[in-house]
Amino acid sequence: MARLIWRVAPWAVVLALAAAWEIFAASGAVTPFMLPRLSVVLERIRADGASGELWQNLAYTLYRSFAGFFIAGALGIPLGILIGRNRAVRWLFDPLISVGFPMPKIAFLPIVTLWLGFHDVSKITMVVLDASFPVVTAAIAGTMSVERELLWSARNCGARGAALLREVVLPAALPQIFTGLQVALPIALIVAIVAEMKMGGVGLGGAMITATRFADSPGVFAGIVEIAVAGYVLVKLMAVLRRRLLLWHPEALAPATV
Amino acid sequence: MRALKSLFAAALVLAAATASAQPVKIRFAYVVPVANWPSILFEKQGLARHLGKSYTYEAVRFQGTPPMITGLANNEIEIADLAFASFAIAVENAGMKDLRVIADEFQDGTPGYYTDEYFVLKDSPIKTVKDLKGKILATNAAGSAVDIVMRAMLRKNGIDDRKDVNVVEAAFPNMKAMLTSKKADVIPAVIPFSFDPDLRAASRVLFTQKDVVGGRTQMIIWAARESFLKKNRAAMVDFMEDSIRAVHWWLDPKNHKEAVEIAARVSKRPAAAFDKWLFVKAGQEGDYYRDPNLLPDLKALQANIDLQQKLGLLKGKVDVSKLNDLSIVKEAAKRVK
Amino acid sequence: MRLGLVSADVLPSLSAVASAWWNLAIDPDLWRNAAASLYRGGAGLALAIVVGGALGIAMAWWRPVNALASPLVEMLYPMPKSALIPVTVLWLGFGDGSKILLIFLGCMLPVTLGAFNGARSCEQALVWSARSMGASRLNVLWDVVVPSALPELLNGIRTALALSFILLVSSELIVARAGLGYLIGFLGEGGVYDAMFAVVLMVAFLGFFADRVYMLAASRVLRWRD
Repeated sequence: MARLIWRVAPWAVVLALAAAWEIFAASGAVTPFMLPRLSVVLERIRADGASGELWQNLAYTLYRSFAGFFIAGALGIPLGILIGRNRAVRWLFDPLISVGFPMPKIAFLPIVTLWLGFHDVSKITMVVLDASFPVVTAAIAGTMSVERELLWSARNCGARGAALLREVVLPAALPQIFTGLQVALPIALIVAIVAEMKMGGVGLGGAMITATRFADSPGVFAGIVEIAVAGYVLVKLMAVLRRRLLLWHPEALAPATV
Repeated sequence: MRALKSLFAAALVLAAATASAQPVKIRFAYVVPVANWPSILFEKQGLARHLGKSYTYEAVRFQGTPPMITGLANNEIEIADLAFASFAIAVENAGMKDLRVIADEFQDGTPGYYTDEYFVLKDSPIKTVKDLKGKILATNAAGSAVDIVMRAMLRKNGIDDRKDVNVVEAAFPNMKAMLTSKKADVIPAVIPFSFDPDLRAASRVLFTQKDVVGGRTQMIIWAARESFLKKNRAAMVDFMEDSIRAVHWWLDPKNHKEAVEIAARVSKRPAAAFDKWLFVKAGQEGDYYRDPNLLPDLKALQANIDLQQKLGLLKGKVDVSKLNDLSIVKEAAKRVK
Repeated sequence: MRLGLVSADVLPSLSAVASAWWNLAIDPDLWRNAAASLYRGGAGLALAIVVGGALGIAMAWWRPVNALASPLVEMLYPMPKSALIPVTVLWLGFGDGSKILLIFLGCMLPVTLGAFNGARSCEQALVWSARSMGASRLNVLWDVVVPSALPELLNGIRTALALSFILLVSSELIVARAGLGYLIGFLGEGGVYDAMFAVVLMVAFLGFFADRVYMLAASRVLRWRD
């Protein structure tokens, strides 16, 4: 019974919010342009789904986000571990990361477009530029926080080089690396959408900016709902994946409540 | 008796002053620094006599017009600098039936003044609009004024703007690079980007906005909501009076040097970037037409909006004759003279 | 860029950017804008650290908090903050409030996630032994769970710190009267790219400086914990 309640409670919150939206929008306190009713927005999403437009936009946006996310992971994790393990590499890369991470990279979009054109490559490049930083910093933090005693005892047992990395460092750093990936995935989605908004065309972001330009409020809010749902599913999937992959780690047990 | 009379008058003035003790807040939204009046209007000191008395003034920069429509709807701004296309969209799609055209910002294609140009590379095989079939066209934003004109030109020449060409988006400052790096075959150019000597050297004009519209375009207007205008009419007339006085000063050739200096300071660009064209009447070498008394051309505006509708970029008909209030700007103009 | 890979108008040379920065820096306008931005960024980040950190630990510690808060956090986070403008403007208008809210929302998730994952990874055995020694629930939370969550929490805050600079620019780009993001939009709209990149780089260096100071402070905190 208690389990059931905890399963239902989150949805109750969402439903309550949805009801509040509908009632507030229908109350006449705001114009339909400022906040269209939720039912109108849902109807719009249904229509877009039926015409196939929604799925096409979703597919493009997800493809760009995932492509960028995987490249960011494939580049960021090894780089982060290397920086965490090697003093010389750290000396070289650490300042670059500190400067590059807080840089508003969207300002470089026009340059990237001129180099790489208007198609997916430049959008995916923007995603990689933004999403790799949290992965790298998390991998650094994870690698560096591996306890010294653990490393010493592993060395005593004869572990060296690649084996040490594979058997000790990587497993110990994995939870933090995963946190980095969990932060990076929503960033990948955000950047893909923002790039689409800036460049127009197909995709959830492109559809939203078109709706904005034509003051088409139901379209704008449909975009917000679609992105929220897509993002929610992605974030949830990452959490499930984390639990699966880190089964052996204490955090995968029931939360440490008393 | 006379003393009593003046005392009475003083009391009246005082009463009126306390009644409107709080100056009306006017927040004015714009997009392009210098080219849009709100960004520089009162940068020349001493022109705004009523500023701080009957109204206060703030210029707010927006990234494009769509958030301005939200701002107007939410009473976050009082006046917005809207392109004709955005005005029609605000009325028709956002349902802002109480939006009013209150003044002119600038007009395109008035005889003797600048009209927007559409460029191709000098050695491009594109000789006429008909050659554009299958080419890449750059636009600043789908549904914008410049975009509407381009699409209208295509349709006139039997080209479907949705199927026969590839339209990509880029910001105006990047248009030149788009053309020279061959990412686009045609680009629109507006002031001041169309005056870039490198662009002029590398390209030629395929057509102008005037060719398409066949006359003037009421490009940008000032818009405000009727409820605000009704409630604060006196302050708005004061504001318009100050604005017209400022416009007269800016447009006066005597003040050209100082105007250029202020524009350079405000925009953080060198004075040379403005010297040749800013507020200068010199055909395709000079500025757009800016009405000295801020009077918009409603006939042109109606024609422009009708064109937008004809292209399928606007659902219903928008009747400008019911959506304007020029009484304020006219009354203010009388005061300046 | 010197090689002509990209036209100098779109990506100006570093020397042009540096001299443009100098011209900006001698004008107090730049510093007024920087102050406005840092205030918004600082306020949003501080809120994100306090609320996000507390929320993350509470979510790991109390099931009801997790049940009620997680769907909201998970839905809000992957949203481009600029897409939320029509909503935030309804509540807070176009002023500082809506910008601080957007920065807060964007910075909160890395902090919450760090705190949540860190607190969850606290070993059950530690908690049990502390309890068996008679520590109260709150004592356990403060003395055992929070310290063990610290490394992940601190890395979450590092991410949030960097994001706060990106977010303050993007929130000020859309509508503003002041701020570094306003300056970037203003200069970009006018095509003054050397000065625009000067401001972009300035944001990056402010972020770099903040990150260095933060890393120093964080290593102090971690050392103290040991």
